[in-house]
Amino acid sequence: MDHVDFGDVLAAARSGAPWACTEIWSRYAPGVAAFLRARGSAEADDLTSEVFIAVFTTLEGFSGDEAAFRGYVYTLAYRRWVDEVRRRSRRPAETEWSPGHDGRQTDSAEQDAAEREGTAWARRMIETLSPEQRDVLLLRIFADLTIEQVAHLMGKRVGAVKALQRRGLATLRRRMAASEPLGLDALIEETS
Amino acid sequence: MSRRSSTDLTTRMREQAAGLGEVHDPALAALTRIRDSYLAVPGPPPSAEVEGFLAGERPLAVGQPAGRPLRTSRWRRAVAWLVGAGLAWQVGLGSTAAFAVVTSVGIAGSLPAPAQEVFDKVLTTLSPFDRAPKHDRQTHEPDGDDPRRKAPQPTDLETRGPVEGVGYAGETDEELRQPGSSPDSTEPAPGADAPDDTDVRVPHGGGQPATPPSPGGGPHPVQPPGSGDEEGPDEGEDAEAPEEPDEEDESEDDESEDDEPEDDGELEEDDEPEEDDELEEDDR
Repeated sequence: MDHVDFGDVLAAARSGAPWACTEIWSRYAPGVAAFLRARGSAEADDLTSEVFIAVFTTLEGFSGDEAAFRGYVYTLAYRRWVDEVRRRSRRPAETEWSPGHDGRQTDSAEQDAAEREGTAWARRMIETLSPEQRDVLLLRIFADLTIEQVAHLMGKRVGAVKALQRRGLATLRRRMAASEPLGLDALIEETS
Repeated sequence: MSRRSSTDLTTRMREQAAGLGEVHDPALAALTRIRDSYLAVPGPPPSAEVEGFLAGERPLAVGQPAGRPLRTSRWRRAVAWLVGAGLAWQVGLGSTAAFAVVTSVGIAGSLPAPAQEVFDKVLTTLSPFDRAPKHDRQTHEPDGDDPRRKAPQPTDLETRGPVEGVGYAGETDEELRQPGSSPDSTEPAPGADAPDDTDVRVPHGGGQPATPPSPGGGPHPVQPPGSGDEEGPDEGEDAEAPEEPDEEDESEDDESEDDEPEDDGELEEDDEPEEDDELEEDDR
């Protein structure tokens, strides 16, 4: 895709060329699914397929460059995610218990140390942000959208999105500084 | 946070991941780690419907609403069936349609006067309905040529409307006036005992009882204003609430961020000039 001009791909996809639709899917679907998973979707794969069905069926009405197309795709993804949140609020989903998803348990020192060193710790940090701060940061890092695109997508003012991003980053920094990973050596010293 | 050489959040993340950043930012490092961990998961498998698009088996519905092809298909099928039908079918169908149209217009009383008379006679003969001829119903329509007449006012219609419609039997008020009194009248008076204006309301035929208004015929009482079709569609049910594509709690705008207890302390941090500079750099 990188070596194929986006305009050519878009034009071919509009005419129903399978290779162009496959290019669009392979380029954007992983990011969309990752964004939906990071945002907590329980049906990220299904939602991703729904998003791209909507993309393919409305492709003729789209006009713009690749950045605008990316914003368009993530706008659809964001709206599907909001729909899922509303569905879940009306009918809570029942999921099987698993240790990884049980937030009530108190981690042991070893688990805590391992988690702090890993990605799970970072995920837990970002989950402490407010939903809107999380939306802004995840849309920016996953979709690589501009502030203006995020503001348009979320229906907010540009200044409000800037404030959300600034405060989200500040909160992350402060909380990470307060819970700096101990490291294995420090852990051994503490427990011995 | 100190200043950075780059201006964009994601660019700074990339630089930091590559070791190019001036200062290690734990927040950016965490975001980079989160993004990479989620993107490391293999992409989702396409659903069957998406597979159809990717295989080119499904034509793209370009610029058309979802239901339109179905309606067009039904219409085309109906036309094809009509064209392919036999002559007897076509004649029968056309006759039925024409009969339905003429009957509907006749019942509505909108046929031309001669045709309407014939229709009324036929309807009276063939059906139990006693439909008064149309000219009876037109008897008391205001005559615009006569300046002495005026259009009936609602109060007039309420008091005389149902009564005036019976018993005139083809004569208008002008004809019932004393012949010769009108400047337009060219016929001599048929008799000396011609009724004056006060006798105009005496029914023709000397006290013949008025025909009760038939269902569907005769004058209709004037409906009071506002008594018309008041049973329109319930807009309250059909009206959809405007789609709210965003988060449910729209009221939580940027101002709502200040309501977070944990952010109370951040407000002071955010107002630091250094943070504002960072913001400008971020979003340039």
